[in-house]
Amino acid sequence: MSQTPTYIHDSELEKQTAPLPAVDANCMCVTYGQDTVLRDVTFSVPSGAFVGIVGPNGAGKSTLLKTLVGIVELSSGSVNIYGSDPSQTRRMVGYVPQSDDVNWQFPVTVWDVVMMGRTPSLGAFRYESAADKNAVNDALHRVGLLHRKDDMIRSLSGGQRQRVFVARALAQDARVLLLDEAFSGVDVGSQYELMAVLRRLCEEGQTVLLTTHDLANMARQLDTVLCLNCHLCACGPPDEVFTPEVLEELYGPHVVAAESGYTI
Amino acid sequence: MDLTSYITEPFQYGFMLRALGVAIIVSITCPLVGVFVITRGYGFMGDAMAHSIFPGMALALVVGLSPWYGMLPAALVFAFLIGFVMRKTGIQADAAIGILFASLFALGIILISLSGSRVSVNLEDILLGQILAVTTGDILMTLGVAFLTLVLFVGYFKELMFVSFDPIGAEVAGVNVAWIDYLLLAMISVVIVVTIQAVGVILVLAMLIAPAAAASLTAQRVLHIIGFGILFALLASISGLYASYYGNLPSGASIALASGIIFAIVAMIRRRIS
Repeated sequence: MSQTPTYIHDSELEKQTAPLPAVDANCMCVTYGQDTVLRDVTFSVPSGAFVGIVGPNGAGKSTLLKTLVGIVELSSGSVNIYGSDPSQTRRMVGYVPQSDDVNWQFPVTVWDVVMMGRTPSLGAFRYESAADKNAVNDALHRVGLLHRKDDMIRSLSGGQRQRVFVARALAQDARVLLLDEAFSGVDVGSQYELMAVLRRLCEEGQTVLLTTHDLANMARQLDTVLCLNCHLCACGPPDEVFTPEVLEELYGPHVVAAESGYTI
Repeated sequence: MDLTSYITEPFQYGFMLRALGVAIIVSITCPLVGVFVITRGYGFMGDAMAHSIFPGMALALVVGLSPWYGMLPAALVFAFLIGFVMRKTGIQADAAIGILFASLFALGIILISLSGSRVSVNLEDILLGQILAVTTGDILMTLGVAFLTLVLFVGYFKELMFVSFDPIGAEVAGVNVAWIDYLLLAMISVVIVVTIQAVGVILVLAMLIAPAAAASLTAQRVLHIIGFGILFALLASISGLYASYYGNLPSGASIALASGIIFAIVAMIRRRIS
C-alpha cells in the first residue's frame, strides 16, 4: 500500500533540480547474514521535502539512512540521491548520527565540530582557508548558534548539539540532511526549536529525512512519513497514514487503542 | 655551590646531556598521542602495547642487535593486531588484548632467561628504563621516529579529531576511519617505543597518560591540552633527572614518580579552585 508523495515546491533550487528527486529508492533490500533488515522498500522524496521515518526498534530505520550515505550496501534494488549512486554523493548528504555514537567527552568546541564538515573536502595535510571559516560561520548563523561557537560541545543541551550537527552538514554543503533519532534526549522546548530550524532549511531548499519515535508530536509536523517495519507499511502525510491498521502493522494491536485518540 | 652550578652541573656529563635529549623528545611526543589515549579510553591498550614490545626487544638483544631492531617491528605489528581485534570482536577486545599482551610479555622473559649468561641483558633496565645509558645513535633514532610521528600527526590532525569525536559521522563524510584508527595506533606504539628508553616497559603509562590527564584538568581544547601536557611532561622528566642525579635514585622511577606527583598537585589545585 505504499504510495509516492508528490510535492510542488517553488524555490530556486527546486527549479534547477526539478527533474530529479532528492532520494529515489527502488525495491531496496538489505540483509545482514540470514536477517533481512529491509525488504522491497520503494519510495521517492522530492527536493525540499521534510520526511520522517517511523517504526519500531529493529525496523531498519537507521539502516535505511545508512544506505543513503553509502555505508550499508544493498543486497538488491537501487537507491539514488539526485540521480546518482550514494557512493558518489557523500558530500551532498549530511548525516547526524544517534547521540550514543558520539564521544561527547572529546574536548572540541562548537566551532571545531562544524569545521569537521569541511574536513573531507580539505583532505590530509591541508588546513582551513577563509572560505572554510566563512562556511562555518554561515552554517552556525543559520541554526542560530553563532554566539555559542567557542563553547565546548559537551556543555550544550541535547537540542543544541543536534543543531550543531545540522550546522556541520550545512558547512559540508549538504543538500540532503539525515538525522538518526533526531529528538531522543532532547527536551520538549528544544524539540520544537530544532523542528523550526529544520522546517526553515526545507523552505530554503534542503531535503530533510529524520527517524523518530515520537508519533504523537514530532511526526505529525512533517510533510510525509514513511512507516517502516522491514518493509514499507505506508507512506504519505501523517494524518492520512497513521490509521489503526498501519499502527497495528507497525507496533502490534495494543498500541492502536492508545494512539487512536489522536488519529481518528 | 651556587644555584647556577647546581642546575648546570649534571649536564657537564655526556650521559646526562643525552638523557636530557631523550627526555625532551619523550616529553613532546607523549602528550600528542596521550590526549587521544585518555579521551578514547586507550589506557589499558597503551600498557598492553608497551608489554608486547618487550619480546621484540628481548629477541633483538639476545641475538646481539640493537633493541631498536626488535622494538619498532614489534610495536607496529602489535598496533595492527590490536586495531584488528578492536574492529572485529567488539566487547571481547579487552580480554583478547589482555591475553595477548600477558603471553607476549611472558615470552620476552623466557627468551631472556633462555639466553642465560651468553648475553648480558639487564632485565631491570628494560623494565624500568635506562635513560642514563642512551647512546648518540639512540638519540638520532629517537629524533627520526619522533619527527615522523610529528609530521603525520600534524598532517592528519583534523581527521584524528573527527574520527575520535564522531566515528560514524566521519565514515559517512568519506573519511577512511579504519586507516586513521590504524595510524593513531601506530603513532601511539611508536611513541611508546621512544618512551620505553626513558621509563621502561612497566612505567610507560606514567608519561603517556599522566601529563595529558593533568593537562586535561587545566585546559579544554585539544591543542591547549597538548601544550600543557608537554609542559607537565618536561617538568616531570627534567625534575626526575635531577632527582636521579643528586639523590642517586633510579632515573626511570624518578621521572615516573615526578609525573604522578605533578598530576596529583594539578588535581588538588583544580579541586581547590572549582
